[in-house]
Amino acid sequence: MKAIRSDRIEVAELLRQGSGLWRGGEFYPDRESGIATGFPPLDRHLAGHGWPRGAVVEILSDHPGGAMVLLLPALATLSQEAKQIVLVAPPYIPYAPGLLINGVDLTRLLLVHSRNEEESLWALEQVLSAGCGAALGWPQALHRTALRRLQLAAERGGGVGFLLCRPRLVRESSPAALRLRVTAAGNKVDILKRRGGWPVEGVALQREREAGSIG
Amino acid sequence: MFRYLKIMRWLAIHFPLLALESLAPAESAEPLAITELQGAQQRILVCNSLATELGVAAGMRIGAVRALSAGVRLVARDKQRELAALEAVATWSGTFTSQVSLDPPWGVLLELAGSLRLFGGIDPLLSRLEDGLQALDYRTRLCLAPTPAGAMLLARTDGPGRLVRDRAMLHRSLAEVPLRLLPLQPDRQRALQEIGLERLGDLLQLPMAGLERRLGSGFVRYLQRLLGDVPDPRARFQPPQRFQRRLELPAEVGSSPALLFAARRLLLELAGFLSARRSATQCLEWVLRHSDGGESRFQLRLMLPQHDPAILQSLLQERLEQLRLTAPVRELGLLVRVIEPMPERPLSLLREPGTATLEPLLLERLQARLGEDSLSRVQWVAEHRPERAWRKSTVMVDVSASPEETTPPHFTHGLRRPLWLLPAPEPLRIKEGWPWWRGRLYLEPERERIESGWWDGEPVLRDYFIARAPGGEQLWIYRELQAARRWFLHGFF
Repeated sequence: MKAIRSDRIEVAELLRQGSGLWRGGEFYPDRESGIATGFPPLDRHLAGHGWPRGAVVEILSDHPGGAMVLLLPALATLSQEAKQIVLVAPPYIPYAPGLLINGVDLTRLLLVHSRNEEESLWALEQVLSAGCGAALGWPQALHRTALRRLQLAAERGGGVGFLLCRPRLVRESSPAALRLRVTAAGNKVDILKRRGGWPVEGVALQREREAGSIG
Repeated sequence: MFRYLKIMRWLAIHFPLLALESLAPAESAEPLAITELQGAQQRILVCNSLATELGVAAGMRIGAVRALSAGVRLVARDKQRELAALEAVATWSGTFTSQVSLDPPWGVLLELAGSLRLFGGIDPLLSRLEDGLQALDYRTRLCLAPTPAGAMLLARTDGPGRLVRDRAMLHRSLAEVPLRLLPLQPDRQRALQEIGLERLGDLLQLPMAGLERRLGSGFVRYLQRLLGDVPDPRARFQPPQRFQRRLELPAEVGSSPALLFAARRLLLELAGFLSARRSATQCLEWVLRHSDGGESRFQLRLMLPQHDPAILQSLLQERLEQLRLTAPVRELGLLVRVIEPMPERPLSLLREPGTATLEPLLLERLQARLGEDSLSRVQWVAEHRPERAWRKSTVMVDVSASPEETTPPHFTHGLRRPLWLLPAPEPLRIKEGWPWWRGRLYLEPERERIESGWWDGEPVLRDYFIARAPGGEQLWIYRELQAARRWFLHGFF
């Protein structure tokens, strides 16, 4: 009897510590908490109940708008906590009035302009490993080695790297901790890959407070 | 202790290989020897270790070297270059004391009495100095003694660096110095040898009057200065107002890493120059002289004044990695025209945990690599015209939030603004009577009229709408209220 119980403890312990081991449908309550996404239905599906810290997240979307809607609440929170947010080579002008209305502290927002993809990836790696709160990049392609480097940089710095790209550019396997697809309207999310869980489809994005000024 | 401090104060730095080392250190050096005209013959003055391995030695004739190996590079001694190197070291020494004197051809003297307390005593001071000299890539011999001439003579004699604590010890140490090291004409040297004198001690036992008759009064004065019997004032080295230094590279350099290696010495010298003035700089101008006679220049501009050589080196590295060398480099120059007071809080290489802002060095690194306009922030501007309601601002390293930026504008209640703005409004097609973007657009009923700017000649008269495209994208569009009443896409939510 005793021997069996101790075996069980070991297995549970192993599962808790284990990298690469996870139990379906259940999260580890002792795990470091994530950054709240601002969408409680989405948080419920994510390990740590939010965006993972020290990791890279791939967000697939046909249009930059939807992904920004998805990230906006977390970016606002991070900026208000005086964490730096870095946009590397954004596709359009980040519009100060829109960001400000939605609670982003613009003094915490840094724009990095680059001349090519190589420079963008380098800049992302630099800012992530230096410990910015969040770094956003819009890569043309996701190569495994580049992703691996960004993942390591994020682990070093403790922030989260969001890579926003077109769905058709993405291959099947990825070292990213989390991969999502968001609609162009930014109202629905499919979780394609996550730590500690199966994929989930069709998570509706509803803000915590419906007073939000986004349509 | 007090007497000790008061007596022992001149540090002589002797550079036995300066003729060689006044060329920049090269990463992959070739056998190299410096030649000098001695009598009627060009002879080897000094050579590097690769040349020594081939059998080259000081005093050898050029013909003999050529017979040994054709691969030895021979460079004529350049006293101007040696003096420039001494001046650079003297400038660098300003970190340690303001009383620095040149002692050409191969020496620098520092008066350290005033600096001992600052550096916590003689041992810490000497070890800092030795580390620094080593980093500059010079072989040196040091001696600390009560008189400048005595210190320099003892530094020139073989043996490890030494501390001569008082005049009695100075007498004993000088007595051991071989006479051939003294500044005497060859015929006088021979005369002394003929009467059986070898060391300075032997000479000092002779009566001064006789010495003066045989060797001249100038030489006797020199002996008196050695021993401290007469004063020996030294002209204080005046460091230049701006930092300007050129280094000839002993071998052609075709790659950025090798260039960085050579630049290191210039950065260390610059650091000494800056620290002696308690200052820093924001602009380093580099000149590369190419082997084809051409020249290229670039500037390393910094957001904050810096003086730390390690930081400057890492930023230069980012910059050099982006640099395409058009031709191999023969000479490297650095010019710093403007210096500024040193920042109060030194920027460390390590990030302090929990800092709210990105470390300034990261920003410097990004800018060094990506170019001067690569970093910016966006600000809200109190202006109704949407394209003017924001502006790009430069990145200040010390972020101090101004109130207007942190509090949203007062008129935001109920205001809807997109997160992305197009660089310029994009005309929309009209199809079947509707604005069209990847399909027919559906407009939300609310409309916002923006009418502004009539006073400055760029008036805006528009009705803005939020529209939804078939794919779900939310667009910020407007219709002109004058002229052709065209539709435009201006941003995305």
